[in-house]
Amino acid sequence: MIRKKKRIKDTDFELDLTPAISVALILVLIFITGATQIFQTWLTVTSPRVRKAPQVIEKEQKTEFKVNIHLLSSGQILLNEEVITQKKLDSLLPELMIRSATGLVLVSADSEVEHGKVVEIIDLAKQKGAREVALLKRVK
Amino acid sequence: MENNKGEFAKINVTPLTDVAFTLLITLMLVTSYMAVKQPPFRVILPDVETVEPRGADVVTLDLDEKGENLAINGYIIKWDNYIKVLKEEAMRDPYRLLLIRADKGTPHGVVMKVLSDIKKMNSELILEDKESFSKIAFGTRKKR
Repeated sequence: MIRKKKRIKDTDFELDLTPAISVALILVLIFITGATQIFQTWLTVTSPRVRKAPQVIEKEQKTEFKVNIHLLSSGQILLNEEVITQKKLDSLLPELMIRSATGLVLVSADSEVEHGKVVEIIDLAKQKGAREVALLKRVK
Repeated sequence: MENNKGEFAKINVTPLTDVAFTLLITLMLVTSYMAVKQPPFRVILPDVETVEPRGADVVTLDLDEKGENLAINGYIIKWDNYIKVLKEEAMRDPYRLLLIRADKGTPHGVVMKVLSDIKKMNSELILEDKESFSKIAFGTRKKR
């Protein structure tokens, strides 16, 4: 092919891209503002259910470290029925998770406790290695 | 008006257009994937560090701060009627994930009431092999 060495003159047809860019940028802005939900995540939990056949469980019983966290409306945290500070819970949980065969953490709370606090505990448990978090309803 | 002649310094807008369109396409794809309806009232989700993989097939249940208002799939539903609506959703496709988007200030008792109502509903709904909404998740926001 023979290339034309002729310089393109100013008078030649040029596509004006400015309106296209402005439309594209406006669309980008719309999507950015509308995309707040992109930052939404979720945490899966297991709802309480009846565990059946205790005889079968007895046969397969292993040394299981139970991790039962309860939040009191006063703000205190109970780990296996004992009061514990948030800091101590942070350091104890990974150890308990290593020893736990199932990696199950049971979480319960008083009904007045804020949902955010419960989610914080679920998040902490997952961060420290819990494979499953189950929510329990505590009967008074 | 003077006729513009001679050479002008021109900005090359092609790379800018490229970037803009790439951003646009990326955001379009992401938002279509994340197409979950927003709560019809103000809900401040709890901040967390854990990020779990998300799917698109969900039923959303929103609760406001005081636990007075409830919405399913973005529509405000009365408390007396919500289990009926959930049951209809479960009949349509029982294996979807139920995403509970409760405000961080919602009392835990309200959330537990919803969970136990769902359990009760499951005992009434007889499905072939599995119970409906066996997967439940709490809506959160990634800590920044």
